[in-house]
Amino acid sequence: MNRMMPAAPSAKPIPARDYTIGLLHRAAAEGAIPAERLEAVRLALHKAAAANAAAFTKGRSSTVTRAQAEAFYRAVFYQLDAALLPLHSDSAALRALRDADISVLLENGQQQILAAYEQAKAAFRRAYQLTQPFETLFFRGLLQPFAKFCTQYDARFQADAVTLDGEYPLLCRQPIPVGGVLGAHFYYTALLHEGELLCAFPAGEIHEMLSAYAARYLTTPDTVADNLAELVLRQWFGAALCGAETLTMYLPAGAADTLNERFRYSSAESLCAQMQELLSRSPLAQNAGIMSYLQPLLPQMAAELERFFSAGRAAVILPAAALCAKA
Amino acid sequence: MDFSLIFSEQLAGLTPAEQRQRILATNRAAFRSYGVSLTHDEAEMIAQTGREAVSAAGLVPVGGSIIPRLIRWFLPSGYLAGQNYAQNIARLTEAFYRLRGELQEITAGEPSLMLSDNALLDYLYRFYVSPTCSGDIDEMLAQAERILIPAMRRLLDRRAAEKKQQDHAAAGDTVTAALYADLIAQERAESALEQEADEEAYDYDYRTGMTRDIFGNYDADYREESAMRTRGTFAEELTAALSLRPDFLMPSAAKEAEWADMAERWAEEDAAAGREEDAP
Repeated sequence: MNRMMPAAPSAKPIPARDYTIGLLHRAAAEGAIPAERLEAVRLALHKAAAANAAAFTKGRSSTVTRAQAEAFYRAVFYQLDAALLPLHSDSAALRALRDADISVLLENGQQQILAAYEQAKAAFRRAYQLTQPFETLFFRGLLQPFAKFCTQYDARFQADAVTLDGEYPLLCRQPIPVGGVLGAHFYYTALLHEGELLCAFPAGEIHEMLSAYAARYLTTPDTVADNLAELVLRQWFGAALCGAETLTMYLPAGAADTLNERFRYSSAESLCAQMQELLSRSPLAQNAGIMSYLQPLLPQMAAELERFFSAGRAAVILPAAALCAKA
Repeated sequence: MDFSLIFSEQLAGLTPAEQRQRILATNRAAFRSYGVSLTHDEAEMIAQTGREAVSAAGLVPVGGSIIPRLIRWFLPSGYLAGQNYAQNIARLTEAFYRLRGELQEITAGEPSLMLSDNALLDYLYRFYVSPTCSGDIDEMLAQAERILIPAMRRLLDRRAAEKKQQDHAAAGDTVTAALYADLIAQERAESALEQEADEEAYDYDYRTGMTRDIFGNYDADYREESAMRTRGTFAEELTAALSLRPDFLMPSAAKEAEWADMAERWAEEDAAAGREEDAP
């Protein structure tokens, strides 16, 4: 059996978007799954799409529109995506496609979708509560798409059809790696971690920082379009790299100059290591969710800070370079 | 192996040979009651017309063929079983799928308002036998498109307006309304059901009267005693009823069940006839 899985270690990971189709194409191209099994998979998917169509019409119509039929197919593929993506390995997913009963995989996928849907809703509700004290127009703009997500999402017939219309970016402008409800789950869970992060800082100081940041652009805090957690983290890293030992938005006097001087010739990697160290010593380290969310993003944040520090422009990257604690 | 979303032309359906066989299976009932039957070639022509009509209407088959049921439905009309029996069936099939495609297109986002095949056949039949059509298939389709499609659009508009009004009425704390939109909608659906039941009871006499007019035995309207009443044609009567209450477009569950039983009985009879013909 193992000879049928020649997945080369150097094989490029298959993108999460349209994962099953990617897997099947690779399996067909590399011969990782026998042709007869691929045909059986194709028939099983066809059968599942037909069952979706029959359930949709409730036997009342002998036809559906072409667009509806395509949606049923997409929903079936998305169910498989939802079942296979949690395996976190292309070769494991290929093995599952080769060996597992497709109807069981589809059922698992449907369960995953429903669970992700409920978790995503709960995550955003909590995220909204946590972020509301600092909310901007852009964050508030997430409410209407969320209401639509809550009331119009169809997990059975249009499992892949979720549009996150909001214009509020995630920390480090992370792209959403997967479409549909799993993408919504990713986005809303990320917002929850960011909300928890904001709550770890003194609310009054965040307000002050936001006011100072908005004033730089002659606007008001509620029209700030940036990710709030990113502003908070940049400001805090600025303070912490200058020696602040608490979670604060206040910088020591002359912080921008200090940062420019100290990190002018630093590499992004060494800056990242220092930021990692500061993070692990901070109270944020006690929240495993926040830490696992931030860890993969640190190199990108460090690279951005380093670009400004090495150009002597720390005052630009710090949201409120002049914000110092009153004596 | 192609795993793209370009699927075969039918999600689940019959092979061309099965389609032809099912059409031929209606011959026994057609010949016994009306003295007409189809040849193999005619059945093939009708099945082919059906496939082309489905494709032309932008539809994908998901169940069995509608054609045998259409034949059984229209046979009592007195207009179908003539010299052009096969041609008439083919043209009715085209008309059916054209209307089905148009209606399904506009109700795609609102599956609860999808008219069933049986309801559509019934409407078409009533237009077909009404004095203004008298078996004219083009006129039947024209009347159906002129009345049913705008009525469906009005019904969709009304549903959307009702929903908007409910949303507007419920909009107090907009943040809570958005955050808990699913729970609010669920609660509202439950209370709407109760409200609907109340209205239904209040409106029962009126509604049953109108439903009888639309879906009842239309021939009865032309009996002598009824002819004295100031009534128009089926088309006029339907237009008037639907302009007052667009929701009358959707038949009642009881009517749907009645049609479903009838269609099932026909299918069983045809299947039995088919088996007997296959027997040596």
